[in-house]
Amino acid sequence: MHQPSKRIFKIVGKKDELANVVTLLLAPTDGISPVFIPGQYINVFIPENNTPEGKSYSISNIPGSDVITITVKSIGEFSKFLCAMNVGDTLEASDPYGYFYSEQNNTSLVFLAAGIGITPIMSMIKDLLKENNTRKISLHYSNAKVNSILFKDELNELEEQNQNLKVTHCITQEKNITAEYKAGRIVPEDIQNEQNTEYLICGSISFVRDMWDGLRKNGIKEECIYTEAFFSH
Amino acid sequence: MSFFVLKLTLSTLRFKMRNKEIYLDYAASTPIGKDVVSFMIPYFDQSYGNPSSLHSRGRRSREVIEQARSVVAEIIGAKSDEIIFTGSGTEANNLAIFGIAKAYKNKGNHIIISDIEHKSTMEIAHTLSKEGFEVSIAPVTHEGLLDIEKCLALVKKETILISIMLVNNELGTIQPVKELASRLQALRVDKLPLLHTDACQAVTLIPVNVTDLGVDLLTLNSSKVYGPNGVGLLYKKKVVMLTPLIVGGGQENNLRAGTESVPLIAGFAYALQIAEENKASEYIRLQNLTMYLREELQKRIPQLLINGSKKFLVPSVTHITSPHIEGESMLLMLDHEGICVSTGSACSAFDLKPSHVLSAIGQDTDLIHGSLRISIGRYTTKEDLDHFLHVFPKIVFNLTNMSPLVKPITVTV
Amino acid sequence: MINFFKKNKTEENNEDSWLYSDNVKEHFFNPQNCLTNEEEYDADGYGVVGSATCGDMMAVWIKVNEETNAIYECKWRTFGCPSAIASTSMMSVMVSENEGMQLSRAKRLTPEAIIERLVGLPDRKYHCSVLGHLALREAIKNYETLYASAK
Repeated sequence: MHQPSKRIFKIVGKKDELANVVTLLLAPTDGISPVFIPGQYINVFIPENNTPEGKSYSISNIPGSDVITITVKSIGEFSKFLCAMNVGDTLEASDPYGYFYSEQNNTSLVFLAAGIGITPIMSMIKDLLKENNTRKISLHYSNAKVNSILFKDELNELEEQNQNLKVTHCITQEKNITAEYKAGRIVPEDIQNEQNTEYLICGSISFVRDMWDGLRKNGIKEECIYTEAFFSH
Repeated sequence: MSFFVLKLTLSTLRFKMRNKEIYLDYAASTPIGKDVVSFMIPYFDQSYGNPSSLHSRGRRSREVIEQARSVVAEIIGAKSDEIIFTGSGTEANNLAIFGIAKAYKNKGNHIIISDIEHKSTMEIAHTLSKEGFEVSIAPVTHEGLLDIEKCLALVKKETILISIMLVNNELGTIQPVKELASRLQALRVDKLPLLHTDACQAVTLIPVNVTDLGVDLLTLNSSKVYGPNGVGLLYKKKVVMLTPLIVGGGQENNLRAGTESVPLIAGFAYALQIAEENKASEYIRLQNLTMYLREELQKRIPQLLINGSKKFLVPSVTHITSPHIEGESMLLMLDHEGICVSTGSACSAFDLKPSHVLSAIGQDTDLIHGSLRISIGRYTTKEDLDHFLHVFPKIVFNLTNMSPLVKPITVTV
Repeated sequence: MINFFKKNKTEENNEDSWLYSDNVKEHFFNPQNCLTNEEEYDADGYGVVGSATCGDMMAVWIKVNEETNAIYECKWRTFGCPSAIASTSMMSVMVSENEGMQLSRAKRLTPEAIIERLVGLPDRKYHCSVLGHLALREAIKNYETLYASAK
């Protein structure tokens, strides 16, 4: 039965990724190392905020260390509060949970992400490449502007070091961009329906819906698509 | 056209609700009195002069507004020049709290509100807290009544305003504003802190007299007094300073600019006059109906919880919690039967947060989403309540039968 | 005469569509596969998500045909708003209709698929369909765990 059991985590590191995006490194205080599958999330609870059910944040690092990292964009009251927390502060969070990950080991993977939706996908990509995996991975990542691309340098580096990873950046609101970026939104209808391929979509509700509709129109079967939509916090 | 107040009996005001719709959401909005509509019409198409114009047509409009002003002033025990007409109760709250905060910011920056104020007051206080003002929240008891001692304990030399609503819109509880005002006298320095009360839910049911209550500011809303939507008022004691929010043509004594709506203001005053004249008899009638409703509800649905004080309560509101089922679902099923009520569940709110009032009175988080507010009014009859009482237990039964929180089913897996 | 409130064809039939589509209302007032009035139910998998505190809670029971690996029966109980009840009802219909849904496909029954059959849910009700998807996943996980340990 899935009931979020709460654990206390301590913030042991904090990194500014972009102007309003922060990565928090969380270490459990009960000595039990966090166990998770890349793509999963934790529920964070802030009692003062009158949200007893908590808010979900995808884990952005990979298993194998003593910490869980979450990358938070400051949008609403809850996320603003989180971004303002400091190293040494503690917070309550659930165990990792969720089903947003491929359950196969030999399919090609197509990731579609928008904005902060890159977080669980980043975890999955890093984990796949860590094992020197030869699975074909392509990422279509949509952002408003070039300087709002989260993990840009890291993605560049991963792409350079791994032949099986291809990253396409789609920039929706900037006009004069260099050739390495594609202007405009991700066009899901352009994404081919290929054999032995799975598709994972993460972003806002409307982004996920549009991508899902587009992929389905292209004849891609439901059993090949995973979705994770972020509600604004 | 002279402003004409008729003495009307309640029976001539009552009119049948359309089809089978039974409206039990008076606390959200009252239907406009039938005679109020016909009273207002000439002010739309015949008296259309701008009250600020100097010609005779404008002066006639001005006269109507001033007559309306003196009618409402008399009803609440104020002077005419202490009445500021606004576009709504929310606007009046904004004017009161933001207006005082700005006007007195050199004297202090601390404001106190209760934790069950109307959403508008909560939001205003929240905004001020981000603009350099300190906001303290005075707690209420589990019955939804202000704890006066704890409220007074928050007062300090920087406190410039306390805002406590007279009747809570969700629970119907009557706050001890008069007692607070009298206790506050001893703590005041240079007449501060000032006291504001939101009396929107109170004025048709209990005495509302600014002198008697001892308040410096008071909010009213026409849509709660069987008047037209789109107009409210702020009472401000003459000596109190206020910085206007809406500036422009200097209307309302430079405190609220904008061309005044003659028909809305006339309609508001007329509706308030009618409500005032019938207040005593209506109080008794509603009290009998509500007592009947509560007794029958408790009999037919024993697991139901009735929230809020049983003693300090207006006779129009019944706020209930039904364990194991959710408020919006109850509401939609009732709606399907032609019955209109309100809920405080999180899923039904646009911000997906549960009612702050229920959180404040310490309601169990497991129960907080199963609430319903039934509020009766001028046109509610016993037959209406009987229909509700006939339908509601079945709805509770049906939803409870679908709930995973009851009747653990033996599962063999 | 000008019709001040111009409506297109779909809006004319669906005045509440901003909140409750016809399908949502249908599944709310006539919920399918709800487990009521039964003291015992012999299920192959059981899952529950949410809580009363959260405002939504769904319990799902499934029966699986071992040979075809398809869900042929899905029952549920839900605490929540009309969108939550309709989402669970619709989900249960989708997995058990025709010959039942293959487990591999049922796992991919995304919130988007449920919403598509409901002909829309307002964005703020999206989480209701997410819970429906998660409740089903929990039931499937329970079945697979038990099935695996039984083998």
